[in-house]
Amino acid sequence: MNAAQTGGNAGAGSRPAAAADRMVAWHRLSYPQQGFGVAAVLAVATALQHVFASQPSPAAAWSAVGATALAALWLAYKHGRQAYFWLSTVQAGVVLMAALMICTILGTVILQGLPAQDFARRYGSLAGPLQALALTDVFHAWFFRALAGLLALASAVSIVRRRHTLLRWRNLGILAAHVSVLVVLGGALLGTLLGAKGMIHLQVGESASDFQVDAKTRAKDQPPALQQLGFAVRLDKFELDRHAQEFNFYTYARNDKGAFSMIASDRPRKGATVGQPAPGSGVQVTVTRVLSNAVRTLQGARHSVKLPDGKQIQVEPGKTYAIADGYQLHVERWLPDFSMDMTSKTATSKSDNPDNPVLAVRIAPAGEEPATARLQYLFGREDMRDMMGQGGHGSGKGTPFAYYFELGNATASWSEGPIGGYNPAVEVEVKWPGSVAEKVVLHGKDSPPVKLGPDRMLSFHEKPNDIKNYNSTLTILQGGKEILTQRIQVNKPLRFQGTDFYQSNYDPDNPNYSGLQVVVDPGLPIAEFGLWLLFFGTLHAVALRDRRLPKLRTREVVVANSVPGEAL
Amino acid sequence: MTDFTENLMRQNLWFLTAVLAFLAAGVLYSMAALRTQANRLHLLGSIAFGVATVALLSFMGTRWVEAGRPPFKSLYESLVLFAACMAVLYIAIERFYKIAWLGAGTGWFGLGLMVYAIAKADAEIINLPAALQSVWFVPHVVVYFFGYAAVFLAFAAAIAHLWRPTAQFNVRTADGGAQQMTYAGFMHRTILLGFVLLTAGLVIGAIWAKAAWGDYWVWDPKENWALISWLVFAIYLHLRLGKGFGERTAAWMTIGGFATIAFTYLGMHLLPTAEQSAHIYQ
Repeated sequence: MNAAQTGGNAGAGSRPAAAADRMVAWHRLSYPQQGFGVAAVLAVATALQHVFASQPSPAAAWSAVGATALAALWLAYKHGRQAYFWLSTVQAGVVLMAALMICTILGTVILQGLPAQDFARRYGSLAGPLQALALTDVFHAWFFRALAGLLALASAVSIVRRRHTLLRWRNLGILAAHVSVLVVLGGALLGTLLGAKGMIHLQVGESASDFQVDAKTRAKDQPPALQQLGFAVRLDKFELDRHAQEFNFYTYARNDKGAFSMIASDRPRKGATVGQPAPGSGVQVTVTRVLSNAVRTLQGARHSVKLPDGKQIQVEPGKTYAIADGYQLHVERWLPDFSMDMTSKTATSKSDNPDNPVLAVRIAPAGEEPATARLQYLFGREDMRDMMGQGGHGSGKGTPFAYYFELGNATASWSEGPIGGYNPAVEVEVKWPGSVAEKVVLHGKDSPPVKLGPDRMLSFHEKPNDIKNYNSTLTILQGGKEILTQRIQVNKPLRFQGTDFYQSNYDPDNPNYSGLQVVVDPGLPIAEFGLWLLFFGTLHAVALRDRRLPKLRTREVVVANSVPGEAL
Repeated sequence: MTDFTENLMRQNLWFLTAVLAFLAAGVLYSMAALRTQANRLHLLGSIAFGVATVALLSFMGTRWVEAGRPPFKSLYESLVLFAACMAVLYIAIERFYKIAWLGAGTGWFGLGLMVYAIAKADAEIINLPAALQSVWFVPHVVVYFFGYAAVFLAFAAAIAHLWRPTAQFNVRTADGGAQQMTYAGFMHRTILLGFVLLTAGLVIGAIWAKAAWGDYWVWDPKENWALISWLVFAIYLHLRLGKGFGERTAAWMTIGGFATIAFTYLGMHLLPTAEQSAHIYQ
């Protein structure tokens, strides 16, 4: 590298020759020495950051800037050519990249951007020194920006000094890769200077024409700022897409902490062996039936209703009975485990077990449509009858009708219900070694799990139904006119006049809310171009460069194998 | 935690075939490496890698259909993808570089990945979160794992170089001829390949991050470590231009580079900043 000598003597014209002779070219120094030099520059940047963080008076701020500028000028006068040359060397590139690497590592092993008091709690007496070195927010620290600046400068200088060789076709990739560093960092700088980032929170029907700028993209001491969009954005619609509902078998095992955790899942398929029994238990669970809309009927259970005249008649759900005084009793349905949903005011059954049996009945004059009469709930459980005062029980203020439920030796049977409903159930055969196989129906809503040996169980329940995606339909309004309407979702933002809207938040409890991230960043397309330049440059460089290596497509040299095993 | 054998029993036929194929490749190439004339063992070893490739592609294909999404979400799935990339890359590279020790290394490493996958087997196929539903998901992940595979080959060659610095082997040229090469030479070529792939992965990741999060780079720990491992090889490429950068140093740097890749892939949960990250394998 004769360039080294050029650099070493470059300043000789303006300085005493003796001084130039004493100077060692910076890139000839050891890597740690060069590293200390870079660290000194970064320390100056950190010092300046502290000066400005302490909110100095304008005079103090200007003196700090002035002193730094003077020092830089003096250094440039004394060592300018040396510095310029050093920046163009491979050694400088290595030192700067290593510095970037070390800083990035520090930014991952030290917690970043925590509030000061949390920091003190986490790091104790180390918190002070870490804050002094600006390592508590590495990626926004001034020294990190200075380092990025040095890298950009080094790329630029090395390109300029090698421009004649780099402009040859086979070196264009190298050129592009180094230009890309400038382009990417330039894009980032433009974004920092002119960009803003923030959130817009909208309810369906609302619109916004400005947004709250995110704290991270503005100076610390500035008050929260509102940025105008220059147009308005309106949320027309918000939709949550969910993954298709799915019921599976889940095996739970007790873990080291004593809690049950899911260890395996199986899809319900007829004939499949499911579950993961405890080792050595020998139990086998086979699916014998799969019902997608299971309906459970209790055969042999007896429902009877006591009428106001004291007579008790047996009834069946779905049938209508003539009673005294020209009335009819219509038994609309049976709810095995009655529950009233207070928000929708509808009666449901919590489970299929007759824990709180209720008959839903209507009592109408004979000849009239029973549906016109009021729906009444008759409770089969004694305590419930008392509480509601039905059939003269309890305080007796309710209805003279009473319902009696008798399970007897009823058997439950499951069958496929009407198409369109969704109420999955499976019938499995559980076979323990040395005992008769037992058939069990597992119902997605309420069946107790099947034991699979010690600390193991199998349940059949719904797959945790997480959100697939969320969508907002947005309309851009300018001067009261609708300009454009677009549906956005995660990974599909909307771009309008240099402003990007990203689907960012939703509220599981509020179906009308949508959180949008707003990004105004004129540097983004530049950075994107730089990234592609980096990729194609590297690709080109690797494909065409490095002629020093043994080439694959040249002369054939046949050499006998010198080492066993390394045969062709 | 479930038993390893329990997890093993839950694996399907394609998976188990691939495990056996990697085992066979490891054994066959190790035997080939210890002999001078080993063309038949080489052939059998290549067939084993072919079987592993077919089995893993079938495994991933069926899982893709069953899950309704690319099977690259969980650690288990990514280990399988990594193993598949190893097999595919080795088969492609063997056309030119027939080095039994590297075949052995690839076979045993692939087996190691599969065994680790068994230990980390998924209890359930989980749904894909919204942020991962993107056209960039598949290229980003696949390019990265081919990059990791190339870096592994460089790492294996680095170890071979430290062990036998002067060993030379013949390399088939594109026109059917032959040429001599050392382990260090092979190591450098695979680093070049790996570097291009790591660059591609980084660039695709950044472009994707912009579409998903509104920014190319958010200083997420995984991003940072991807940058760190990329910088190791960028520094390597620059150091190589200067004098006094010996093959031994190059080999040690490659080993270091592979270590950073391994940490980027598997070590993120060890970082205190992991809680602030958006993409870490659970």
